[in-house]
Amino acid sequence: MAARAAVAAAAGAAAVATEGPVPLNSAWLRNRVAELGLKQWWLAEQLGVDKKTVIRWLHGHVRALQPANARALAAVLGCRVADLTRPRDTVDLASAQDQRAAAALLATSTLIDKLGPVGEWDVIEGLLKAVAVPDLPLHVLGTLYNRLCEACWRQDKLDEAEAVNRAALAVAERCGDQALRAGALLSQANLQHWRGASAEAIAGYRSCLALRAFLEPRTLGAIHSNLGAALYETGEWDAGEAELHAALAQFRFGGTPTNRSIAHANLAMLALLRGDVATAEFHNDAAHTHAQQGDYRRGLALARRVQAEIDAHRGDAEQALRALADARAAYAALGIREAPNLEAEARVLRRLGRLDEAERALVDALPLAADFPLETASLQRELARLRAAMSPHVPGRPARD
Amino acid sequence: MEFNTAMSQAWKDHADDASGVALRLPSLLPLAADEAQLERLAALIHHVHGTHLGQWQAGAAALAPLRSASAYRDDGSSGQALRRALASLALSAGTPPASLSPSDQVRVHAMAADNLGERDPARAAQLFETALALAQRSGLPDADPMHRAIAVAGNALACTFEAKPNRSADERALMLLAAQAARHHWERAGTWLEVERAEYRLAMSWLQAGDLTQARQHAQTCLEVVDANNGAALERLFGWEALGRVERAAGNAVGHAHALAKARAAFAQLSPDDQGWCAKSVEQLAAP
Repeated sequence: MAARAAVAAAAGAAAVATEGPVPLNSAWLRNRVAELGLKQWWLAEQLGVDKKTVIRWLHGHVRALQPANARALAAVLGCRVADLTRPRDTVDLASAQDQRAAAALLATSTLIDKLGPVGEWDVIEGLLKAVAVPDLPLHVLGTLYNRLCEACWRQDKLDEAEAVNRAALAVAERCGDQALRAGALLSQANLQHWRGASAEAIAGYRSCLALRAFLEPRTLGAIHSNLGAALYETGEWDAGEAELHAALAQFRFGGTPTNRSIAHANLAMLALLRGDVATAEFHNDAAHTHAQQGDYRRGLALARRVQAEIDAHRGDAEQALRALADARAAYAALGIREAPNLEAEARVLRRLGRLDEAERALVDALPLAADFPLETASLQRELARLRAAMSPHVPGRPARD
Repeated sequence: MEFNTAMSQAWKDHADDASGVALRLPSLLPLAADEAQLERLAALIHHVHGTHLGQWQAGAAALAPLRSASAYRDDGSSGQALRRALASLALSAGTPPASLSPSDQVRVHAMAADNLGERDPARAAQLFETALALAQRSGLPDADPMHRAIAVAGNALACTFEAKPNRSADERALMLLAAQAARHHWERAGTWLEVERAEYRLAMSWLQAGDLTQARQHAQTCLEVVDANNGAALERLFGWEALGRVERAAGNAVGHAHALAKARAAFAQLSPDDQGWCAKSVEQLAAP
């Protein structure tokens, strides 16, 4: 037995001696480590190397592994050495052209003006460094693009967000980093959703969910939540509801009160679409409670807006108008003037028979929705309902959906 | 016999001989000298009759004499503990609690869920979900004892379903929910030690659920918490045991061997008493 082991060891040593260094595919390594849920320290301990060494491997700072290290790494990761080997066309580091592109982005945009006010100084710093630092890992540049994209869309700068998103997707594709790809696909789906490309957005969210191993639990919850909203807004109520409940399950221990408030608010609005006032009230109460817990003021305003609709459904004009006034004041205090709020206001007023006021709200809303096809379509639908209710040819026609 | 000694013996014996302990419970009442001791006795009676024996009415009957104890205060902590225990047993039998504070509502639902874990998993799941929903919406501060009640019940439920062969999909879901809830609420109401043990529990639950990625993450976090707090060898031992079991299940011989060596090193630092009850864990980890 000992002799056989000695022979095997000698054969292994001979193999090492004849093999050259293994070009390391750091993106594949990052993906595998994420899939297995391995932490850097545990990987380092198993291999008997320093944690910093593992970090350098993961970040693409090491171009090739010694064969013995590659074999040990493959054994721990449950893969073949060939899986760890970088294909010839895989890129780990940003090229001079990539860095010139980042520099151009910085030089030609009003980036600092945009990001400063929303506190994204780390993105600014990162991008400046990305231009200056040689051998920048490509996935780091891609991650910065992702963060920049988010900073842009959070300020409604959709055109710029789309340009940066394309850059992030291209980088993700080139380096094969799945976490980066998941983040870029999520931003792309959000942008498509706001642009009214619902089918593409829904497909995009589903692509993100397929990459769940590379996502943080809270991000996963946000994807379920956004997908749920996209689905029910386009008429797929059951599928939307299921996704919103999946979001709530994800947010139960990993989310913030704001996350939970948004998901409950969407479930309340979906219930109203179904005419299920009791369920709407249940979720709206929950949305309100979570908004209070998280001091989420937009959520508090939305809860009053939804409450106005619930009261209007019940025919309680006094309560509905009070809730509507509260919602208006709350949105005004936040400086928010958006088409969906005015549309909801119009629905409430229509239900209460205040048709002229409802029409004014819709007319005011249309210009605000100009860049958002879904919102425009929804406003037009409500306007059609309103006009039908106002029609002199149908006296006494109830102002109902 | 002194109260603390009798209680320790009862807790030690109850898992193997719940019926025998139930018969001894009345003899403990005269030993209880203050409200705190009455609360502990109420908890034991509730646990033995509720979780172990599933005898709701017998449990209520065993609790009733506490009211006649000289240390009992109906408007004090002993009165509240008694009402919670009775409400939990009643809820286990199917009668919803009435006129309880928001905190006690959560606690009673969590206690009843634990009672029903083995007997009626569907109702246990429903009650535990209700406890979580009430807790989340209550906005009660971290100091409120309801957090602890959920954490304790969650841990117990997770253990119950980890040990159960042929878990259904619903039971698997409840096991994971319970372990996650325990971790979440210990974070709010417990010490690092309880958080670390909740991470161990999560690792074990995910291991039983067959998700080795999640199990590995929690076993690693368990060890990180031990390390960050310079935890005792006993905690390190169980952290390495969890990680070793995960790596063995994953077919990672290197990781399993490394974790086993670390577990053995921690075991060597234990007191003889602790080694006595921990030896089996190390042996089982060493098995192929």
